[in-house]
Amino acid sequence: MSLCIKGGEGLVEKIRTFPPSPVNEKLKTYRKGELAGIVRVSDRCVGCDTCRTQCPTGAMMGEIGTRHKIDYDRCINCGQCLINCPFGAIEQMSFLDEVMKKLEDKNSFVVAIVAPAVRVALAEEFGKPPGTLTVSRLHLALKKAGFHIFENNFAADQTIMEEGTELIGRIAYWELGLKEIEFEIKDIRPISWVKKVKLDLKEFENKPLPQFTSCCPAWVRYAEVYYPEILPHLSSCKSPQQMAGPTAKTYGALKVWKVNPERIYTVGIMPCTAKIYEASRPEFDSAWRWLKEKGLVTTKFKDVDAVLTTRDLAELFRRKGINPIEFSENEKPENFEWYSGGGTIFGTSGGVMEAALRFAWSVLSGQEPPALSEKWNFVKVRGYTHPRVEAKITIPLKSELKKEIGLDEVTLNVCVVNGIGYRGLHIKDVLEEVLAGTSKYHFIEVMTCPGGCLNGGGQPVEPMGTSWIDPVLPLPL
Amino acid sequence: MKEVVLRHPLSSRIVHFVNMICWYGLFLSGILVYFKMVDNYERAFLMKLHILFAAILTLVIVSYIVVTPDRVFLFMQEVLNWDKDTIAWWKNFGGYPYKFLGKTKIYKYIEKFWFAKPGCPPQTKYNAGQKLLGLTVIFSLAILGFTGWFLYFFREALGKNGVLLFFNLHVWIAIIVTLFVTFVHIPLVLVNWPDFVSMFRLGSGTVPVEWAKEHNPKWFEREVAELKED
Repeated sequence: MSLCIKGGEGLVEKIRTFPPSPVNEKLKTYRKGELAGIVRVSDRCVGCDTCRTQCPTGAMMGEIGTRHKIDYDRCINCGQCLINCPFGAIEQMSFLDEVMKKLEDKNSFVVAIVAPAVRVALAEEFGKPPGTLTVSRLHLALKKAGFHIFENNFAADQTIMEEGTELIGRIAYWELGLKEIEFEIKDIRPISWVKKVKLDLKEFENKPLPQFTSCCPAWVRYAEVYYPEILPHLSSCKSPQQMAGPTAKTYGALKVWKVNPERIYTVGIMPCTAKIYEASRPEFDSAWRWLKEKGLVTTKFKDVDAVLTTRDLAELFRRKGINPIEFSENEKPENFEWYSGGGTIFGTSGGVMEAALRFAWSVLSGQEPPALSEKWNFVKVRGYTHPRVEAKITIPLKSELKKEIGLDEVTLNVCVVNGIGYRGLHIKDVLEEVLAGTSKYHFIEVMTCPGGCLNGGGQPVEPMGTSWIDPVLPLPL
Repeated sequence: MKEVVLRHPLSSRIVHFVNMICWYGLFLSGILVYFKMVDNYERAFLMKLHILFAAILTLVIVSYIVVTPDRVFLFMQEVLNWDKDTIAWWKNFGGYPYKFLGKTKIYKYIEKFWFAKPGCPPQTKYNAGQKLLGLTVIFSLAILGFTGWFLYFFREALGKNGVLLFFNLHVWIAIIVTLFVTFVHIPLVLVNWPDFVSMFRLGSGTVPVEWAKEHNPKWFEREVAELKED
């Protein structure tokens, strides 16, 4: 099967896919049940060697002129090799056929978990310019195809509340020397609510600063395989996809859709090939474990049953004769279709960082972060042109905290790693400093793909681009 | 002693020789790799060889331009000089179809066509066909060198469409020009044996005056005779 790139625009070949299948190799860095070989090199490889210079781990092996090969034990499944291959010689594992069958099955309740980066890329597959936004029309197209919607942005908002709370806990324990902290999380749109949170900071004894983000599954695997000592620094929060899956199968099934959780089949629709791997991780069956404890289910299931890439979704729409561009962009969201701007910016490099810090600012200062302020200068951590950016964010403390710790404000040093880079070029010294205890940062966001999920391995292949031009430069950018 | 005239100076003969060896080395290694006619390990070795040949060829051509710019200028002046006789040569391909087929049975079927007429308008140092070949080789060397080295050193700066364009230009220009050289240039130069000998013999690159007068009368009259007078 092959998936079209940008409706045949340009010279770049189509991306071919293959059904999920085990790798015929004995692997050392995967646990039982984890999917390996999400991307593989086909015999169409001409050995141009572009992929090797975009691989963050050195998993892509081969010399110029020869068919390249992926060392799956070293591979973190990011798919950068695939989207940078000019010859379309790298293929992707796809659950498309399985999802198509589930959509036809009347007993299945298929839930699409749609990632933020998908809505700015899908239109490319239908002849629209890159960046064309499809939100409401994407939802309508998915519904027409038979899906129910659980916005991954909604789950990203959940993530940021968890991850932001964790960041506040680490800062309060390690930076402010507090034993416990109490605060309110509130929102006014669309439904006003307030939640009081009291953190016993003892649990942060083993969660040191700086805190790393944990949304990117390729980065998590990179840390596990190459820098296991760094793991206590990673946020203990699941990624939005893995929060969405169990929420859909528990709260969604029981309280919102009122269907038997065993009927729910969750499909992550992601800009990412590593998400296919992430969904297969054995620990991600928490919905089943919770429901089993309550005596509500018997059959074992995963939190996320299948993952489709943006390219896969476009192919699904094509097979079903659906063009998402033809739908209205003015549909009112319902249930899990609501989300905040903080959830949306997860899709771009610097987005998770900004969302978490907005949350931390709100909690620690007791005010909404100002739209424009010198102390709140986020421009530095946005953008795609630099592999690593840093900023200083000063948060004025609310009166209760001022009294308790005798400080007017707290300044956080933050860093965004915008793509791990060839053989870890952009991240290695950040990690070495953290391990040596000399890092000045409090919070570090890592996106394996340059630009973040927008440029993920599951996105439509942009024929004009290459992720990084570092390899042609004598010095790093 | 037989009177001779210098046709190919030493610097040009060295460049021609290196070009010939490297071109075929590049072609064979490239073809074996592109069409995957050998296994992966051999392809890795052949690509190293390909790059080595390319480096030698690039070095020799750049040196030729730097060390003997006068020869490069004269050569370019000659291959770009297309007068009415150069154009007229194409009317019957310099009489070559007649030379090859005039005494065969096939000729009676083609004799009425323009390309089968006998005769050849007077040519300068190189005839029109050689001029076309010279231009083809110069431009193809430039394109192959540029695309090849760009793909080797700067492919990430090209983008995927750029890589594909450069890659396909590199492969297909090399194949087409090699076929042209192998099946047109080489057989014709073997027919013109004194020219072949002057290019490849160990001694000087001269041709007999009589041969020059017959094949390249304009060159002989305008340049060789003038030099003789001087």
